[in-house]
Amino acid sequence: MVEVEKLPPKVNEEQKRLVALSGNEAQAEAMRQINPDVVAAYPITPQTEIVMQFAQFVADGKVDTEYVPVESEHSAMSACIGAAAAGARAMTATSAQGLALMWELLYIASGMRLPIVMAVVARALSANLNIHCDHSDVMGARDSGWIQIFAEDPQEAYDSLIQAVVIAERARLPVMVITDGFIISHAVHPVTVYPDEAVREFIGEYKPEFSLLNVQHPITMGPVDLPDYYMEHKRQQTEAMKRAKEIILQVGEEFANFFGTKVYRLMELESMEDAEVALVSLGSSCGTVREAVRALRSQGIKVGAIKLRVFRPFPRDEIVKVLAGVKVIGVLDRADSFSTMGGPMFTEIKAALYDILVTQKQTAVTSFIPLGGPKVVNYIYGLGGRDLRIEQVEVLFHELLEIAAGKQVEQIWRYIGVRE
Amino acid sequence: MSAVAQRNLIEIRWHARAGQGAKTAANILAQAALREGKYAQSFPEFGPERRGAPMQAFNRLSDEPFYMHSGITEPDIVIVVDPRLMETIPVTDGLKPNGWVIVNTHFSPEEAQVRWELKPFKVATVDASAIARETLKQDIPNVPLLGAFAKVTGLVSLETLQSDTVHRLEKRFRDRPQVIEANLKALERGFNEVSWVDAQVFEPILAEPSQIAFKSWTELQEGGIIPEPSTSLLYRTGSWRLERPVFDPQKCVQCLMCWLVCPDSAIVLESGKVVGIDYDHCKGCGLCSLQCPPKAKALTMVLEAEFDKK
Repeated sequence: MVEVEKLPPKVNEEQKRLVALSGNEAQAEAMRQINPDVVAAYPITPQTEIVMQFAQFVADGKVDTEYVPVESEHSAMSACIGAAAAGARAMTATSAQGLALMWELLYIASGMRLPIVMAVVARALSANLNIHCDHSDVMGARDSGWIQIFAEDPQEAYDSLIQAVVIAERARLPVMVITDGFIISHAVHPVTVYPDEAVREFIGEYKPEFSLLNVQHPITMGPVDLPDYYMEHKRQQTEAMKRAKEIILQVGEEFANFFGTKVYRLMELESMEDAEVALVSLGSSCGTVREAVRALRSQGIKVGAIKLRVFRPFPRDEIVKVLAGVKVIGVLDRADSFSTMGGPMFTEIKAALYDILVTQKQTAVTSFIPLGGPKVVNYIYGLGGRDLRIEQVEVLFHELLEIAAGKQVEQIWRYIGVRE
Repeated sequence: MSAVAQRNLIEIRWHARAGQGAKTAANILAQAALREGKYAQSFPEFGPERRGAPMQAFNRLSDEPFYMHSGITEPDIVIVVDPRLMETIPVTDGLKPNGWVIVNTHFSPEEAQVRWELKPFKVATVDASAIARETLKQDIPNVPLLGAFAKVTGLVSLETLQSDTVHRLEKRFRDRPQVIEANLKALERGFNEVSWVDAQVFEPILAEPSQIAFKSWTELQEGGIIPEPSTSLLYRTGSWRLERPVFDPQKCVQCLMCWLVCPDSAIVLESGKVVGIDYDHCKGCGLCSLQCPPKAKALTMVLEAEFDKK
């Protein structure tokens, strides 16, 4: 990366407010400051507070938003698609079954290249009925062409939602910002909030290239796309995803320069410089893992952690660069894929490492990974809101170190914290 | 010749409009071939899935089992169910030299060979639409064309097609045996009335198959947005017509009902008065003629074939 001359941030410390906000409150606050043209949403636990508070902002005249109270999430996303096609800045929020009900619309939003921003408060999918956190809802949407950004805490949720508006409009792709249900959505943390005008200046005015409502220039959106064109449009979409990586990094830099925050990137590293073993995780668990790393490091044990912030587009090259030198990697998945070969992030990371090993022409054969290199194991945890405790993480690190020392592993992926 | 091209396989391409029964005819042909101990495939390819839109159907026939599921681009036989497609669609694209073109038309094979530049091919013609109108009382030319196919190629027998037709229709038309009779008659007349001529040119065809210049993904508008209005005017959908509305200005009372109901804005107005039809975009649905007041009768539907003869 090119070194840029550091200028003082536009927003100074006196202009910021440090307040206690839950994840949901922080995101509702961000939405108030973003002041979108249209919000269409349907309440679902644990996302309810976001739309409830936002509806109050609308009722109190604190925003200019056209609020569409719809009868389902299917309609919520449909209304957002219509609004975005008309050239509006459109936002929504959902969880679990609500996201599942949006499924077909998710693909329409991304296929039509509409920059819709959605707060997803991650929750387990039924059955059985469970309102608590896991990532099975968002992982179900991982191939829908949406950018997926995971926030560890309310501060990151607030910051990421503001960045998401800019990312979506530059990449011409929809973005979901994901927080862990209850663990973050309902937990109050200290959050630094920026002045309204500063947020509005940062996101700027949305100037869509096309608007369906511009009667002076009629256009067609979402036409029938047969075998002779459909594939070209998918090819464009995948290119947009590739470009989105650079845009996310750019917006992260700009955000830091503007508000004087940390620089948001594709991932965050904890003690990875000389780590022998590492855990990779998403969302709120990253904080718990970080605590465990620091505790072990204080005893001189060389462990590290990667917090993956952006899951789509998947930062393959970046993550491989960090992991290539590690002996054993543990991947923490808060969802099962039921493929019988591990969780969704596990298979992604293994696939990413396989490619890099081939290009490095490492051909040493072990029983673990055919081409040598780091060993990767998978822990599926926290389904339906089951807690992940720091002591458990410590045990996992010790297991990774044992594998690094030569211990044979019977199962390369398994559930942890489950009654066997 | 590539190894793939040397397989002992007959590939057939049907050109028709949705609703003319090409898919059904291809299915019947595959069934008949199976009954005669051959291996067969039949599959359609649809565009806008709308009655009147150009479509294709395909057959593969072989004495040996085969497994490919790809489209057919170099057929041995082309069957043209709607002769008006000869002018709008490159029906002989990829057709093997000395291959068959079987066309539903009132022209003789010699006339067809000259009119549509089919000299490198064997050409068979049969007025399947006329036979269908006389026997089936509607313009469904697929059945007589199957009869013609059996006679010309010998790949299936008339007897198999006949028994298949009976088998296929007997349950549905148990109370109306005359329908089955009419189908058998149409089949037989197609078989008897087809005539053909050999290819006149035997040099390999040098012309490249016609290629539409499609844009690459880097040149296309993102998300499939069509950034201009009125682009449908670029597509001359008038070739979809089987029947044409003919306008008589003397009889028109200018009620404008035709203009109101036309789904393709093909009724031409001048100073608020109907003056004619935009035949480049009229698809021949007949709604205007239905809506025209019976006392006026200023719009009547006439078979397109009538205009070919003139």
